[in-house]
Amino acid sequence: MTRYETLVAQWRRNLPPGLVVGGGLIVALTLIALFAPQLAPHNPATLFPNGLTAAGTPLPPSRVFPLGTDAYGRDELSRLLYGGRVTLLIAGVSGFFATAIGTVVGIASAYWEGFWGNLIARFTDIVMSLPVTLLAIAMVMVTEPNLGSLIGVIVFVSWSYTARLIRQEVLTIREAEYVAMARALGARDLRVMAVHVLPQVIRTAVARFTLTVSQVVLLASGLSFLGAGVQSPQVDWGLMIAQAQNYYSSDPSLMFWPGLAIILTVAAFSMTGEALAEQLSRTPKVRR
Amino acid sequence: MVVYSLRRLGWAVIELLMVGAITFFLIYLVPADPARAIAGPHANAATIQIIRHQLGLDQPVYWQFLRYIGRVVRGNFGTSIQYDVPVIRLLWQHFPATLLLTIGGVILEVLIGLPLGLISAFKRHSIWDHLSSGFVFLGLAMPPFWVGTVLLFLLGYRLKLLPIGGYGAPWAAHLLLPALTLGIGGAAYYARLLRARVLDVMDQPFVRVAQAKGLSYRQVVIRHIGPNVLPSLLTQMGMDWGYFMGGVVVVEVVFGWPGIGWQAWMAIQNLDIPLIVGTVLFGAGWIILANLVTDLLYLWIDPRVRMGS
Repeated sequence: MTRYETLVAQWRRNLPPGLVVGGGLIVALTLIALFAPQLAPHNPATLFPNGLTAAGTPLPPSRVFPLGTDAYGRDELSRLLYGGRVTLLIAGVSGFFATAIGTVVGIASAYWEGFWGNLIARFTDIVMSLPVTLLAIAMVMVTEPNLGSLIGVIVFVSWSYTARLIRQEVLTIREAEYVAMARALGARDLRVMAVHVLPQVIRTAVARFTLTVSQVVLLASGLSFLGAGVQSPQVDWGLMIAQAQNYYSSDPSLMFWPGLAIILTVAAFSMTGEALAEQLSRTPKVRR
Repeated sequence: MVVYSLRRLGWAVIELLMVGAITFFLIYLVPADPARAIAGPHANAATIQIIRHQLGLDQPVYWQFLRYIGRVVRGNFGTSIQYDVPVIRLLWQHFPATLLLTIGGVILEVLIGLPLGLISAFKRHSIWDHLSSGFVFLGLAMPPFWVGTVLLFLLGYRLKLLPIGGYGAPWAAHLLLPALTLGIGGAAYYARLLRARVLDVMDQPFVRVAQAKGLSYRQVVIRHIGPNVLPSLLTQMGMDWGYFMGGVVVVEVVFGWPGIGWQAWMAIQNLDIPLIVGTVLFGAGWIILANLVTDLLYLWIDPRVRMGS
C-alpha cells in the first residue's frame, strides 16, 4: 500500500458516513443562519400589504414569495432562513455550557470518593428526574423572559445526563496507574483532574455536546411553541409552527417547512453525535 | 432485601425534599418581590406589606423554607392566583386526563416499539432492520408538537377519521391521536434500546453455552435472552410512566387535552406561578414514585439485584 492509500484508508475509517453527512449538514445550517440576511429575499418581519389574499388568508408560493406568505403576510422563506438563527445560538451556547458543567460535575463526583462525591451524584440523579418542560416553563416565567435566562434555564435542565455518563467513565479512569502515579508524585487533586483525567473524557464530552445540542433544539423549539421560549418579533421555527397551527386546514405548508427545518437540524446533530460516540467505542482506549 | 428497600425509600424522600428546595427557590427567591407579583401591578404599599406578612416573607429564609416544606408535605401547594382555589385541588381535577393519556401512550409505544426493536435485532441487516432504523431516526428527530399537528391534519382534517382534538366521548377516538403522538417518539426510543440490548445479550457467553448444549433457538430466546432484556425494558417503561404523568405539556396543548400539563400551559398566560410551580412539584413526585416502583420491581424480577443487596 502506498502512503497515499494508507492515508485514504485512515481517512475513511476516521470519517464514517454519519459524521460526513451530519457534519456537512451542521456546516450548511450554520452558514444559512449566519448569512440569512444575505440569503433571504425579504425582511422576515415585514408585514407585506400585498402578502395576503383579498380575503386576508396567506398567499400560495409565487415569484415574489417563493414559499408563499404566512398568516400576517410575511415572507415564509425569509422567516424559515432566519428561524434557525436564535435556535442555533441557544442550542450552541447552552449545549456548550451544559456539557462543560456536566463534564466538571461528572469528573468531580467520581474523583472524590465518599460523601461529597456521592452527594453530587445524587444531586445529578435528582435533576435528571425533574419534569424538564414544566420546570423550564416555571423558570422562564419567574425570571425575566430574555435570551440569557432562557439559555440559563435550558443549561440547568440539560447537564445531568452528561454528568452521569462522564462519572461512569471516570470511576474506571480513577483506578488507572497513571492517576496513582501522579498522586504519588505529589500532584494535587485539581491538577490530576485537569491534566490526567480530563483529556481521557474530552472525546466523550465532544460527542455529548453534539447530542445535547440536538436535544436542546427540540426542547427550545418546544418552549417557543408553548410561548415560553423565543418571543415574537424574533423569528423561530417553533414559534412559526405555533402561529401556523390555526391555519393548518387551509395552509398546511406553513407548518410543514419549519417542522422539516427542526427535524433536519436535530437529525444533523444527533447523527454527528452518534457517529462520534460509536467511533469512540471502537477505538481502543489507552488507559493502563 | 429489606435494607435495600428501606434505603431506596429513604432516598426517594430525600429526592422529594430536594425537589421541594428547588421549587422553593423558584417561587421565593428568584423574583424580586413575590408579594408584589402576587398582589398585582396596582396594589398599594400597605397591601403588599400585608401579603408579605401572610407569606411569611418578613421571616428568615431557613424558617420560610421549613414552613414551605411543612406545607407541601401536608399536601398544601399554595393557592392558584387565577382561580383562587388550592392548587392541589386543581391538580387532582386534571390528573385523570393525564393518567388516561399516559396509559394510552405507554401502551402504544410498547406496541410499536417492541416488535420493531425485536425484528431489527433478530433479523439484523434485513430490510426490516433498515426500515426500523429509519423510523427510529425520524421518530427521535421529530418534535412532538409537530407530529401531533401533522396527525391532526392528516387523520382528523383530511381523512376525517378522528375528531380534531378535545376530550370526552367517544374516548377511544379522542385518545388515539394524542397517545399516538406520544407513542411514536417513545416507540423510536424502545426500538433502539431493545435492538441494542438484544444484540448485546446475544454476544454473551451464556447464550453461546445455551446454544452449544443443544437448546432450540426458541428456547434460547425465551429462557436466556428474554429475561436479560426485560430489566432495561422495565426501566424505560418506569421512566416514561413518570415522565408522561408529569404531564407531557406539548402534546396536551396541541390536542387541547385538559391534563395537568395543559393546565400549566394555560396558567402561563395568567402568570399563575403557584399553579405552575405546584405542577412541577406534582410531576416530579410522580417521576420519583415511578422510579421507586421500578427499582423495587427489580428486586422481584432480577436475581442479581436481589442477591447483591
